[in-house]
Amino acid sequence: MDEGNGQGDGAIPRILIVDDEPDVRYMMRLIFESAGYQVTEARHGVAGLKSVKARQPDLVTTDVMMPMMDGLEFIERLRSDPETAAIPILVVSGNAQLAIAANTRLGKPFDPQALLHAAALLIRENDG
Amino acid sequence: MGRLRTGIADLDLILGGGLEPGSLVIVAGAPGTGKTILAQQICFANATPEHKALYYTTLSEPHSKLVRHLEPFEFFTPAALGRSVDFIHLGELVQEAGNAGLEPVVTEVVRKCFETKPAVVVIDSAKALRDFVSDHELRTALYGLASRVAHTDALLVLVGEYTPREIEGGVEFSLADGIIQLAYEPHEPVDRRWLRVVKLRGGDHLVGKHSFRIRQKGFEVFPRLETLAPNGTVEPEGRVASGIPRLDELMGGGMSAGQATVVLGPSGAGKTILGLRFAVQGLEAGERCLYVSFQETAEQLVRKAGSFGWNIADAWKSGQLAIHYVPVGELDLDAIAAAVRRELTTGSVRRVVIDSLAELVFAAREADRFPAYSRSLVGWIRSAGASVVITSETTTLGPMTEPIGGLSFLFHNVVMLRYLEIGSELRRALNIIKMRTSNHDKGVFEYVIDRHGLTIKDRLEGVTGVLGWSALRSKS
Repeated sequence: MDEGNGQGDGAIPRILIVDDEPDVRYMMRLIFESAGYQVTEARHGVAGLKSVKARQPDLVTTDVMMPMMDGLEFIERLRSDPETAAIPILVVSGNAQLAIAANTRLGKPFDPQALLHAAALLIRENDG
Repeated sequence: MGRLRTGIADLDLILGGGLEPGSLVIVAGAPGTGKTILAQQICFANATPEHKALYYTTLSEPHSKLVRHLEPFEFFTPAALGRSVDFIHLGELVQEAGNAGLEPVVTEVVRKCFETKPAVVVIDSAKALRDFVSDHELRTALYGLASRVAHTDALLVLVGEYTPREIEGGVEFSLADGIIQLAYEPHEPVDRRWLRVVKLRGGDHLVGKHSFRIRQKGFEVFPRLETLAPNGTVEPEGRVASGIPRLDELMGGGMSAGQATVVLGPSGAGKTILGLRFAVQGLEAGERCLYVSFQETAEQLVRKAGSFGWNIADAWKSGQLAIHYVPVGELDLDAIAAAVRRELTTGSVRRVVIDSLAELVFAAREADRFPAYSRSLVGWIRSAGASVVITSETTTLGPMTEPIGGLSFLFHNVVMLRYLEIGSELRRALNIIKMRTSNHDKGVFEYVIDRHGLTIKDRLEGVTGVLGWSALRSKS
C-alpha cells in the first residue's frame, strides 16, 4: 500500500470499522492494518457506539444498512454527543449518498486505494 | 387490505391476485433456480421510502456480490438501496444462536418491522437457520417471528434451498401460508425452469408447473395453459374462405368460422403454403392474423409469400399480421401459448396459423400433456372468435401412420395432403378426412403447387389405395 496512515511520527491512528458483513470488516481491517493503522470492529450501530466511547477512535467508518442500529442513526448519535461530534466519519455503503452527515462517502465495492486515501485525508484534516 | 403484487403480472395471475400482506411465504428450490431474484423482484416492486423492503441475509452471499448480480436487472434501481430497500446481514446474530436460540434474530427483525412498517421482509437463506437450532427451537422461533411480523402487515418471505422432501415435512412449511417451489429441469432440446404454488392459504391459485425464464426484466412467467380459462366466448357465424376456392367447395362452402382445421401432410407437400394462403385471404379481407412459425423466421415467411405473389410485408410492418417465430432454443409450450394469448387479447385476431403442430409436440417433449394442451390452445383461439389452421407433419413414404399420436379428434376439420406415384411420376393428392359440422366431398383430388400457390385439379378417378389400404371387392 502506498497510502500512509495520515500521521507522520505520532501515535498510531485508531480506526473503528462498523459494518454488519464480516467479510467487509475483514477486508477493511487488512487494508488499514497493512497501512499501519490500529483497527477495531463493530457489527452494528449499537456496538459501534460502545466502541467509540471506550476507544475514542481517530476515524469511524460505517455502513448504512445494518441490524440493531443503522448507520444513519449511528452517525446522528455520534454527531449529537459533544464527546464524539468531532470524530471524522467515512461512510462505506451500497448507497453511501444517503449519509449526508458523514464527512466522506464511498460506495461498495470500494477501491482499497480510495479507502486509504479518504481515511488518511480525514485523519490529517481532523488533526490539523 | 388488497393483495401485494409481485411485480410479475403473470405470477400474480397464478397466485390469484398476489400475496397476502401479513402472511408467511416460502420460496423454495435448489441453488440456481432463481429464488433470490424472485424475492428481490418482489422487494423492489413493493418498497417505498414509507414502507421499505427489508432483505436480511444470513449465510448466503456478501451484499456487494448480491448487488452486483442485481445490477443487470431492469427492476433494480441503485438509488432505492438504503432509501426503500435495505440489505441487512444477520449472519453473526444467527451464528451466535446459543442458549437463547434464535430469539435475538427474531427480536431484531421484529423490532425493525415495528419501527419501519415495511411492506416486505425477506430472510435469505432461511434454511441456514436450521444449522444452529433444533427443529423444536426453529418452529418456536419461526412461529414467533411470523405471528409478530404479521401484526405489521408485512409480507414475510423465507428463501431457502429446500428439497422437495423438505417441503413435504419441514417445520417451516407447516407454518407457511404460501409455498412457491422453483425448479431447474434438464430438458431437451432446451433446459427448463418451472415454478409451482404448492400451497396458498386464503385464495385460489393456478395449480401445476408454470414455466418461467429469467431475463433482463427479471422473472418472465408463463401460466400453464390448461389451468387458464378463456375470457368469455365469441361464437362467430358463417364460413371462412381458405383462399383456395376449390378447397372451400370441397369443404361444403369452407370451414366454419371459429373452427380448428388441421392440415396433415409430409414435408414438401404444401402445408405451409396452404397456411400462408389462409392468412393472406384474411389479410386481403382486412382481418388481423397471427402466424406462429417454428421453422421460418418472419423475413423468410414474407419472402416465401412474395414468391407466390402474395405481399404480406406491409401487413407485417403495420401489425395487421403478427408473425411469432419460435426458435428451437425458445421452445416451451406455455411460452408459445402466452404469446398467442397476448395477440388474441390485444387485438381482434380473426385467423391463426400454427405451423406446425407435430414439430411442437416432438420438440417440446411433453407428450403426456399434449392432448389437454392442444384442446386448451384451440379453446383460447376459438373463444376469441378466431379460426385456426394448424399444420402437422406425417411420414413421407409408405402408408401414412396416424399422425401426432391420434390427436385428430381435437380438430373440427382434417385435411390431408400426400404424395402418390402414378405412371412412374410423383404427384400430389388432397382429400378432406372429416368435417365435424358440415358435409364435405369424399373424393381424392390431385393438386399442384406453382407460382400462384396451391391449385386443386380434378378428382382422381380409377385410382385406389392412396390411403395406404383399401377395401377389396370380393370375388363372389
